[in-house]
Amino acid sequence: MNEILHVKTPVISNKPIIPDFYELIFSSEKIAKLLSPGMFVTIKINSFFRRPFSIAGISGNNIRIIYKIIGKDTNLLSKYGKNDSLDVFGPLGNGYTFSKPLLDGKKPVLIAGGSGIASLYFLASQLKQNANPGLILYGVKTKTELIKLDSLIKDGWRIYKATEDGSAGHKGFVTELYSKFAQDNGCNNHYIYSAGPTPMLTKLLKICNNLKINGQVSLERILACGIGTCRGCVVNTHNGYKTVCSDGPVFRIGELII
Amino acid sequence: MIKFAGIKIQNPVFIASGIAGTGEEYFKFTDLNRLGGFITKTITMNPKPGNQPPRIVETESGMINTIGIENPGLTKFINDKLPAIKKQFKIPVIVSISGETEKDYTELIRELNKYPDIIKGIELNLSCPNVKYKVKCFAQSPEMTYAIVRCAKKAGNLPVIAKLTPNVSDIAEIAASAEKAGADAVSLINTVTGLAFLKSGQIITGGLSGPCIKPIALRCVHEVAKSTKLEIMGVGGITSYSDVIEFFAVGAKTVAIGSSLFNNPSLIKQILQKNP
Repeated sequence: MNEILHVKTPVISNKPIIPDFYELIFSSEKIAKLLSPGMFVTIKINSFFRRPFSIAGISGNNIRIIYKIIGKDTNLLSKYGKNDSLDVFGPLGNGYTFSKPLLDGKKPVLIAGGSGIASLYFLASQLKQNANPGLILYGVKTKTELIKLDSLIKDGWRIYKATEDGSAGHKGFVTELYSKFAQDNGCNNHYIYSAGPTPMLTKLLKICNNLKINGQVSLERILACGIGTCRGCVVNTHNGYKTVCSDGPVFRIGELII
Repeated sequence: MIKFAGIKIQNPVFIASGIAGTGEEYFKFTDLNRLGGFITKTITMNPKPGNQPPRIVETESGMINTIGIENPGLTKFINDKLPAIKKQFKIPVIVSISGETEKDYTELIRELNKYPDIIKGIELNLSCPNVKYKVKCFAQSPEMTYAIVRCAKKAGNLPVIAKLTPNVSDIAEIAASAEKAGADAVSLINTVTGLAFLKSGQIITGGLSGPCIKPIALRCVHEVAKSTKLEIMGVGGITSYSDVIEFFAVGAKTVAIGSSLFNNPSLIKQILQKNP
């Protein structure tokens, strides 16, 4: 039984990294110890529902979140300054699994859509303990939304970009980019990790099911309780309804019916 | 020690049905044994998969849910959930039940009656507005409320708390029926029927809960307290100790914390510490 904490902790830093995208750092020794890539925390901002944020990285006790301003709450969060008190609940959910036996003989392929890059960034930085760096396919609307992935490139990850307007990399969706890549180069040894908006993941699941590629995806849903009790955020799986907040947010590709 | 519906409790604060399942998850970060009592998520005779998602939508000061009483059914509840409930809870556990017929309620209670060391009472979910019964929801009819409470009292020895819906023209009349049928207490209120739009434009109808329904709950408790001798559990939009005091002031003997626990996971602790 994993412990969950509800803490008030000061903001260490909260700054824009690219237009509309912020990096927020706060510190919690206990939460940091329990976190692994793909898990998330919720933050109480100003609405009835707490807002879920996936973790982009940890460094010591410092926990890093990358978020996009998409509504009133994230806009308000972007105004938080150093030492403002942050109401954090977590860590929540089940993250990515990336054990050595699972990845034996596989090439990890990380496919990110928009802010989905956050949890995959954390995964990429941890995964090197168990497998050689593979590919990162990263799709956004336009090139100004691309977050720098320099440290991952340094680690040996190869990055392929897609923008909907063609301002950088492949013009179109990242799912099309992957589909093309898999057809041109083969995909037998690919193991997918993906996070992004639901329409993108739906397309990706179709591609993976057609090409019989295994992997894991992290789903985004509106959450109420965050711990699985209210049954509000369920998705349909081959084993019945599962909660995104507690059974997920990471699910095996073959498990989901969406 | 005080008594509510004949059940000995250490304080008057409960967790409402449907909020914390059977408690396991909440024990990961809070000691539920500091509460007065715990009410489980509603169970039914047969397993229910629940409604197709989307099931929740956020509103201005609350949420609408249409979960559809997803639950494993009576047998799985007894085999899989009761042992863990017994292990974890030292406070009275009340099992919330729902049925489509009087027979369902009778059979559920007869079975649950066999575990008096764990189960200290029954809450009748007569008012869940989400499930399409062949009849309209029981708690919208004085006669049906009477009939179900009566059969629940006859089916076993467990104290019976009738949870009523605010979606009626005269809540006092319904409560009077529950009283006449021998209910040990009533809990007021279940969610308020509402409608909201998802971002996609899709309509969600279901039960509205959260701080926005507190004035409705207070009004219902007040009306029932004035017109019956029933013991009342106040439920609806409690976000602080001062809310609890308001429910006591209009006649509730106990209170139950609902969906505001999602917003503030430390709410139980704060209320028990009497933080205003």
